[in-house]
Amino acid sequence: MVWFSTVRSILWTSEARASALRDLLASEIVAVSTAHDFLNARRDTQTISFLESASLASLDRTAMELGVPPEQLAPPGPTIVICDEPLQGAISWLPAHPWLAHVVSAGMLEHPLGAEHLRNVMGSLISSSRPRLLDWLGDTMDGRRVRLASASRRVARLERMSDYFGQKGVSSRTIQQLRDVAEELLTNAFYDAPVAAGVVKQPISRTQDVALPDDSACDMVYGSRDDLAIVRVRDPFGALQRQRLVEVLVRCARTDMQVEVDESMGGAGLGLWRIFSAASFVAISVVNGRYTEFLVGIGKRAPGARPFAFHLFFREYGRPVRRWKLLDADSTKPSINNSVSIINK
Amino acid sequence: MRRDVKSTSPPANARAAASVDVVALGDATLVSISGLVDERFAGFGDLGAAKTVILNVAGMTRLTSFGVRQWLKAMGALPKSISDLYLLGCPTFFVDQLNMVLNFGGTGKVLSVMAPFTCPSCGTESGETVDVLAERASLSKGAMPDKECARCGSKLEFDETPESYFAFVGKYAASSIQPAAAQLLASLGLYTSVDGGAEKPPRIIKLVHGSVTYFRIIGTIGSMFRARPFLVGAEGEVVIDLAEVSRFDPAGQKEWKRLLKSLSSQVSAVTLVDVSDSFLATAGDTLTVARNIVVSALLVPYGCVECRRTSPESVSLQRATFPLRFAEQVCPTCGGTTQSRLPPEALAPLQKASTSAPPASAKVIEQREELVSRALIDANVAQAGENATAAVSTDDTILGKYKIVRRLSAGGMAEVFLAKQVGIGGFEKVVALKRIQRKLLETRHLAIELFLNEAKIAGRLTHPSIVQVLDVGEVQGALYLAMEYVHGKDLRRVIKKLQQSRIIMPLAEACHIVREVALALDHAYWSTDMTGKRLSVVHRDVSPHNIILSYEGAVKLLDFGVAMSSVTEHAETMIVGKWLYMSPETTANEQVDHRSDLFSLGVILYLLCSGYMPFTGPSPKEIVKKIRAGQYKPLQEIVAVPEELAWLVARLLAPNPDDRPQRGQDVAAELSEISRQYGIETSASGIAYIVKQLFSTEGSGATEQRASSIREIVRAEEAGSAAYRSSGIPSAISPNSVSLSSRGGLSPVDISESFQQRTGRMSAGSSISETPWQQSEAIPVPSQSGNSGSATVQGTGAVDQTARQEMPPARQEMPRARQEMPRPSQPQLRPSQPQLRPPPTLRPASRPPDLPESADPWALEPLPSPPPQRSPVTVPPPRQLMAQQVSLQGGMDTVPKLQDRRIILVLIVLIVLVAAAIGTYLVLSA
Repeated sequence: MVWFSTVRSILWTSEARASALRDLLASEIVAVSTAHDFLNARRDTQTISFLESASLASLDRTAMELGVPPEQLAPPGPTIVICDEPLQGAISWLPAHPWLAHVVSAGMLEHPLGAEHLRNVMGSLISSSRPRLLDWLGDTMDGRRVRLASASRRVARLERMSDYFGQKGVSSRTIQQLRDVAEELLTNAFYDAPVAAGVVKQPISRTQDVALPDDSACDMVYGSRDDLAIVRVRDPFGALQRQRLVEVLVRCARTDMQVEVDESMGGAGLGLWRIFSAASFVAISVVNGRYTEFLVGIGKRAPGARPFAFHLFFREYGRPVRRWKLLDADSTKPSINNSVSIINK
Repeated sequence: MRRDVKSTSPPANARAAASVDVVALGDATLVSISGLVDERFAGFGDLGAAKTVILNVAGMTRLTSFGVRQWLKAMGALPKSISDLYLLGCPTFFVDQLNMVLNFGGTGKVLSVMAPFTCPSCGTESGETVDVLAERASLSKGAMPDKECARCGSKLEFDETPESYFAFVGKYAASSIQPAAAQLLASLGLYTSVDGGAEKPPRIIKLVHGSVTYFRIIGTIGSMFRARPFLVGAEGEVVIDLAEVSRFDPAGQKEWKRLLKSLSSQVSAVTLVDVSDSFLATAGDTLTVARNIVVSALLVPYGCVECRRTSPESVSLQRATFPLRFAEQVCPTCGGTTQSRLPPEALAPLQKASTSAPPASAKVIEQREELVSRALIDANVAQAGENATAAVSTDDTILGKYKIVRRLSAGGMAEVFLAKQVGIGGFEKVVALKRIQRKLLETRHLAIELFLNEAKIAGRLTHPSIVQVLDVGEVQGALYLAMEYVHGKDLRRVIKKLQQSRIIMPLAEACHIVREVALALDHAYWSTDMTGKRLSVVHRDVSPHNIILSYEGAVKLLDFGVAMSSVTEHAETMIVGKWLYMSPETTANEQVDHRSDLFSLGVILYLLCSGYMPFTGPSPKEIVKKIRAGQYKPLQEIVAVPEELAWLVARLLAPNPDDRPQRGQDVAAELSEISRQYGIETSASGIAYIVKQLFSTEGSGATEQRASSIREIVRAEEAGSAAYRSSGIPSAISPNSVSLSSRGGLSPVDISESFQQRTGRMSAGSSISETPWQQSEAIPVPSQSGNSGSATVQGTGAVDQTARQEMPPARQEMPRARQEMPRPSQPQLRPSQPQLRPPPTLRPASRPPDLPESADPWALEPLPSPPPQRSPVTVPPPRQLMAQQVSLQGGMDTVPKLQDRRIILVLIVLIVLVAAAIGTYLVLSA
């Protein structure tokens, strides 16, 4: 907890929650009770704000009183919102609050994973560099890191991943969820991300194989420790946009937690919702044109209801985006960097 | 009756596309979907004008997000003629979709699902079937049916939040089942409904006690409930006991209301006892149809705050005042505090009902358990014959407090019965009752001594892998031993069945079985009694006969009849056990300890891994000679097994006890490590699968796997059974082997030649071969206690041909390849502590070339240019892995070879053409 001493937190929460957070953070805390105090509190690069459902609603009311659209009244600096409601409640906040990127359920704060998770998130938020999600895994995580350059190899890799988790004593139910998550992420990386990035104009059929250049292969990490199992996948496209993500999640979260699947639903639609539904936490880091990184953690044998948290790190990258070249199926040219090959099986 | 079978694709494995099988019987059609449902899933095929369809999804292995889309398409394309659609055996991921995806189940109604459970005691996780049709009332309230751990018997904990996992119940739970569907599922052994089409009328116990007529209803008050039995001749006061009503279905509400209306007008008072919350929720309004209806007691679900078990408690409402308050109670299981789980709003219907029972009724209610118990015993005794006392001693119907159901087995020394322990209040517990043969009681004091020895020793042992002795007693001279009843098959029969199917036990399950027995033996020897004194139990008869595999996958060691311990005395001159499994020190009649049992365990491990006995010979003398000399074929020379496993077997079979592992737990630990290292870990479910598959026609629970076997049979018949016929295996057993191997668990072994030779030889009844390695392992056992007992051998006996043919792992002749092998020398023993290979490196040190981060702790594995394989194994890999490796390597090798050949061919053709052109040119120019 020494690390937290450098961070300053501004809490606009209930007394009970502020007390719980105080115990959890063990750092300088400023508790406020009005929107005015919250917005005008002194902040620096090491300051992180906390809101909860009620204070978020108060903030919206304040915006309306001030005659400002709620989406424009963004808290200065990084803000974490604590959610009492189920997952779809938190997702419903996203469209109206474009600044909202970090949601942690109240259950997560009480969960054994809570302190460490908060520490990781806050560390990424106050860091001036790009968030390094791999740092969230800590020293005790045991796992493997691999790269996949071909979509056809993902099944074999997923088999190995399942075997690995089985050897680590992860329950079969959790292995099944991890496998589903990893498969969705890899499928998205190979089939949907190239389309979203504009490399391929038409949707890629799942019956085709997709090959990436070796130095731009999908980077996959999976690991396990006593209380947590994780899957992390990074694709080299960086094509996921916040607007698209929110659109999909909101569509999935309506109709009482039941997704309506239709033909128009493509890309990271249902798969993304499956990931969010299974995970204890999801962190998404996108550097436009550079990479899209998903870190998904599933708590092992957590008592009570499963906690959840999601974190969205979207950043624009200054340099020009990578130019991709598509090699068609019959191409006999040698593979070069920045080329995506689609091979008819 | 029409029975069609269609198969749209070959059997699926985890990677293959899903397969769909259709079976039609009468008006009902069963569609079984198995394998991976992904973008290739093409639907359920042509179902014609089916009206009742059951989608059996138990065989589905996974469902991708594109599979979800395809599934929805398929559901939408189902014929409009379908009026009843059911979903059976939904796996956990399927349930997730039911909860998550709108209209995923379409118009289907769920009959059963798999639910993830974990045992808090032993950590075993299991997928338990939950009968949604039967349990929907409790599931919709977030209550879970109690499930017991197959391994240790503890109460299992649900691995999810019931409210979220069973959220689908409100929309998709089946409330009834069409008779045609019920009939089809029952005929295939896939599902037996407890209600709906297969609903049974509740059992009614009627007692007349003075002016009070007491009724107890046992079962479901549903569509089969009838008021008439209550109304006929009813007079005075009536008490209706609802304590054993398992469910109150809305379908029975009308008849129940009619009953109360008619009865209340016919008698002076109708008193209801032990009314449950589900009753109040469904039929609470019927309590006020007449003024003389009384509710005297409530069945309150009490939950323990510590162990979380919930048990119903009867709470009297006499002199109760509203609002009702339920005092805390003591948990009967853990002694913790229990609290009422009854929501206050559930009690609303009671506020208008009377709660004061008439005195006569109140007295009957107070004594009801005793009255019912006495009546039941009277009825049982009367059933046994007019002379109840004589019946006890002569026709074996009742032995003390045990009601004998049927005889399980009979041996030379004892008989074993399936019996029920009957207690007050309808208490019943199924036990295995071992009774010594009457003829031995007077003549064979040794038999009695062994019988009591078993009781004395096994009674002190409490271990999940040891069959528990519950009671020992004597009734009119008949000695009996009540033991935990394990519904399963002994390992001897399992091995025999495997041999019949030309299959050997998968390595994972073999290791699991031996590990469990090793732990049981370790407990038997090293555990202490209440005074701290070590029990030092040596079983002395560890053999497949005395290991039971239950249908739930438990592995149990039994029969401590010839065991010795610190609490018993034995004449050391007696050699006990079975020759084939005896340790060298036992054969020499030397002092034995627990390491002798480990030797026997080594023999079993050898047998399970290879399908052959290590020590064989034409006579016990020859066998003993080989046992003492450690003369056997090393395991790795017979079958491909991990090197560590072969070492372990070699050390277990070491002639010198000091060279063996010193404790059972060491053996178990090594087996665990081997299993982990080679990815061949399994659990009780693996054992359960094998037992159910092998004895599917005898198992109690009808399983989906059994249906798979049935499918295989049908397919094989349709396909002409060419493969089976060509193998010379009787078609009656071949489907089993196909079904088992298709799971990837049981590996068929290519021993057809020796198998056929053996079959022929055995049927011809010829004598045993003379070559040293072609010996029968069947050993004479002069006195055997049937299924339950051990063989007690004194001295050396003569070869018994009958025993030889009955022995399960009979290997009359070894494969030819083995005959040509030189006689092996004594195996070279490894150090007592095996040098297990280090686990695979998890983090290779290479770095990705394009990763910008520095000092990355997550070093990257090298880019997998060849297809991923399992960890490189320098020893022959486990059998389960071999097929995969071979197929992968084969696939890789063939492609470049083909390309090379094509290039060479093209070059040759070109050369020939050029040569021809040059030749032609030269000829023409000349």
